[in-house]
Amino acid sequence: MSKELYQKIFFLSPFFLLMLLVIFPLFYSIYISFFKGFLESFCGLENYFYLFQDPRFISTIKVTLTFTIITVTSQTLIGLLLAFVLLQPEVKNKSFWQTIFLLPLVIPPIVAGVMFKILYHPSFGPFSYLSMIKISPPLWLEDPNLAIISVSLINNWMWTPFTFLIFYTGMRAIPHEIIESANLDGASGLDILTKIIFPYIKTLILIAILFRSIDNLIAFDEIMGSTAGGPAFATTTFAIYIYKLAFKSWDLGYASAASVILFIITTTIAIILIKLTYFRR
Amino acid sequence: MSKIIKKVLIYLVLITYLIFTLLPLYWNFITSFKTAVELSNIPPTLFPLNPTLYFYIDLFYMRHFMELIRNSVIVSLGNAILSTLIGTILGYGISRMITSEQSKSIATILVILARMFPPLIMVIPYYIILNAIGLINTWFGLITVYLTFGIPFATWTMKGFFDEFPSQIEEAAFIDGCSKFDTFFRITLPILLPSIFVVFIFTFLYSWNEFLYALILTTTYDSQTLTIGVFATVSKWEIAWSKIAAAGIISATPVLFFFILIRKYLARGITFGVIKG
Repeated sequence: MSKELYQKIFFLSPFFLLMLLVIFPLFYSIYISFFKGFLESFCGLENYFYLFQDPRFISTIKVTLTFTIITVTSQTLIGLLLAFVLLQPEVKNKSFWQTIFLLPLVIPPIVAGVMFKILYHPSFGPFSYLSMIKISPPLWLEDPNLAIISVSLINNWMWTPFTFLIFYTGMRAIPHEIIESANLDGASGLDILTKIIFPYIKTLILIAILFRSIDNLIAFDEIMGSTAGGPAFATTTFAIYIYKLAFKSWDLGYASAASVILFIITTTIAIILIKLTYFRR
Repeated sequence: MSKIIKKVLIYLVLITYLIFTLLPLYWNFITSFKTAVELSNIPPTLFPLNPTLYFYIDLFYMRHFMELIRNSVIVSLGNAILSTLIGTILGYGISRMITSEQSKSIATILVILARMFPPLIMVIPYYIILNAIGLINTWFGLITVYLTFGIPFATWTMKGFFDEFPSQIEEAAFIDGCSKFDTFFRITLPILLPSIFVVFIFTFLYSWNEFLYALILTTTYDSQTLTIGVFATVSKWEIAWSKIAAAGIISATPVLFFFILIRKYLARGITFGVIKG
């Protein structure tokens, strides 16, 4: 009996290590958020009140939401399109296409940001060809209206493969005969997509949307690598703002309060996501 | 007729996306071989006319750059080894040692939730803690913080592998008088070695690509990782674009090599349990 207990302790003790590594910093962060600066003077919920009156914080929320809506929508739609197209029997060498499409998933995000900075460059990037036909190349990262689109495109490059992979795997699990018999009955591609495939993978679509929302709400690396939040504050997302508050202005209490709010938002989405995935089977 | 149109449309979509995927990589690649003179060519050249290795050699001659590579290798290896080890043990624990279904669910959910915590909420406290205990700017400090995403990933993935492992094999060993420890180390682990290797590669990749923690928790050449080096090149040499490109290529190369090794398992590794496969 006691041997059984030893075994349990051996195999389950890492759980407490993990909780220590994760829970302790979380509570410490909440604790810090009740102070001014770094534990200088207790100020209760003042940081949180200031946050919602801070015009920069409000503009940060707008930028983050714009970024998240653009990226999640396009990644879902393009991922669906790619998966559906690759599913067609006419496509030879499916694994070749799949491998190429998945490549961006392993590139370090910061490197992706830098790569696009080179690609977007108006004088030696490919867009400089436009100057040959007397069109000046777009200032992807310098134009404040365009910059948010440009960083979204980097995020799309990195993460559309993710949604594609989920949808492609899901679509391949649909019994072959169903689609084939619909084909024989003369159903159009659009009909097959909306009436047969969609009902099959609608939970997967929701899962992909939630997954991408959590990740894109905290997007940091590729933005740092390309615009670092600029021009001015045009691409300063939630994550960039917290980083600047904490490690440029060294206002750790205020930054912690902002990060606690971010935590509440993403954890709420995560709990919905877990309910959907873990209890699905 | 409509068959041909369909085929044209299909390949139009596939090829367009192929170009979108490869263009940034290709452009970065050719830029890294272009001389400053060629870089100022308008229009830009599609292939480097006089390809030069100058920028790569220049990077490798900088003492600091080699240090960054060394740090990245040590931190990624350290975290991959520890996470895989701890994750394998805990994954087995959750899969086999918890008898009540409800506590099993709770343990699993907590592990997934730990993975979904935004790093931003942990980086501020970790900065303070590591500073206080003198582990800032150390490999060990960074490895420890990387465990916050390494352990959940390894645990979840290994739990999946153990769940699929036929329990009859283990039961047969029990009947022959093996203890649970013996069964785990002598029978289950050796059979699952390839899966464990996949988990190891993934945790290595995640650590190699990590940026935010490294940016804040390491500031010296003795401890900074390569991702920080790439980021620093941008601010340091805004004009030396070929060098920036070369740094990017160097940090992406090992990752591409691993990509080829594990491409079959990619679905399992990145979707973190959304789908099996």
